Amino acid sequence: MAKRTEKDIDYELMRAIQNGNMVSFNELVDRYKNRLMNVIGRMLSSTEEAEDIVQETFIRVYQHRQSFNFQHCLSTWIYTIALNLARNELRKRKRFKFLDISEMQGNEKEFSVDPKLPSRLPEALNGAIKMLPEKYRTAFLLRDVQELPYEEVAKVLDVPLGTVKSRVNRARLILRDKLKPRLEEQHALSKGTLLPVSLL
Amino acid sequence: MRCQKVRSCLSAYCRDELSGRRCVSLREHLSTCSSCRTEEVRVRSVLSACSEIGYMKVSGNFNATLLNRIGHERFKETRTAAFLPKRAPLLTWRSLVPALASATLLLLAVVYWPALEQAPASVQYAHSAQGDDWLTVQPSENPNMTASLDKDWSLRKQLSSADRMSRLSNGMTDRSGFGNMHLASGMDRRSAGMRGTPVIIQFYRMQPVITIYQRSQPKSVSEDEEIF
Repeated sequence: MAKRTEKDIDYELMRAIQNGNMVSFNELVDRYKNRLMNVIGRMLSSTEEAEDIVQETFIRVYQHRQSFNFQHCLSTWIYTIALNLARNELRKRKRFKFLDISEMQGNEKEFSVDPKLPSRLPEALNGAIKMLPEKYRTAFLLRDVQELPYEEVAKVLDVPLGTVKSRVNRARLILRDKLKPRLEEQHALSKGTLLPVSLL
Repeated sequence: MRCQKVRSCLSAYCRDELSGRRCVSLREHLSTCSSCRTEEVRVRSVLSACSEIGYMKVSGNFNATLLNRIGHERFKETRTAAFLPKRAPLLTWRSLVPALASATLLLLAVVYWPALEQAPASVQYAHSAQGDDWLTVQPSENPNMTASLDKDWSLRKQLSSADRMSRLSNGMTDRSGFGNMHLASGMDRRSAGMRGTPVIIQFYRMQPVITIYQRSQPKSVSEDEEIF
């Protein structure tokens, strides 16, 4: 018996939803809600707004369930709806709160890192991601955070494959530059050249 | 490979996204360049941090809230046109054809009614095989007719006679050379034209049915006048 792929499961669920099966719809929601939240939550400043967008995405999926074309990929379709809603929300509010790493660099307490504490790099990376331009941020989130294949990212964003690779690469370079002080600090700590404050 | 080129490809190299040939040349460069090796470490740190930034999840009551909203959507759907009975279209061929036919007949009637009204007098005569009871004004009550009425006078006879005379006179006056001839009814054109309107006796029902020209008193015929 051939193994069912993710795509096959998605199509089976979609057919059941088109026939009015709400249990299948609930299962589809469980499959995609956290994936969408992981992407949309990092695009918007507020978790509540991101959850609203994810809910609106599933409502749109339900409203247009009969018009879904089975020649396309369901995950691509869902991601496309979610990203379009997030972009509309960003345009509407024109609000983008972000953490300024340069401000954090001026705070000496930040450099007195206790090696026993968890690394601050992930938090710094979260803030740096929000500082990325929108098109680079979207491509980076889908590829490096959500780990979607390049081809699917290209379909979701509706751009050529080369453009996706270029944007992802550019996003990585920007993040590397933004996190350089943080990375140097980590490197120095690992080599022992930078001592934590508690040992001074 | 130059350092600038290597550093632009480092992120793809760290993710194992580079093809074999470029990967080999990059590895060779990294084995000789310490600054690029340092850069590689930084890039790998950033990429590994991506997996450590945590997975954002929805709140606990997400499904319940969503299904509640979906319930509202389903209710709205039952109020849409897809569920309501379809209205009959205002304009269909079944309704248009009689309307168009009626309009055409009305138009024809309006256009051609004046022509119908000018039909030959003989067409307007009501040749009724019945008696004269239908006349609202009986001939016997008409003072203009009393003197000349015969005992066996009837409207039907009168109409037939007038029709016959009219056809005869029309036939004769239509021919050329008979312009100065008297009409078969005894009235000449000159007298008809110069004396003004002749005496008219009209029988009414709802509207004038016929118009009968009363014979004028016979006059002496001059040598200049031709009598047919």
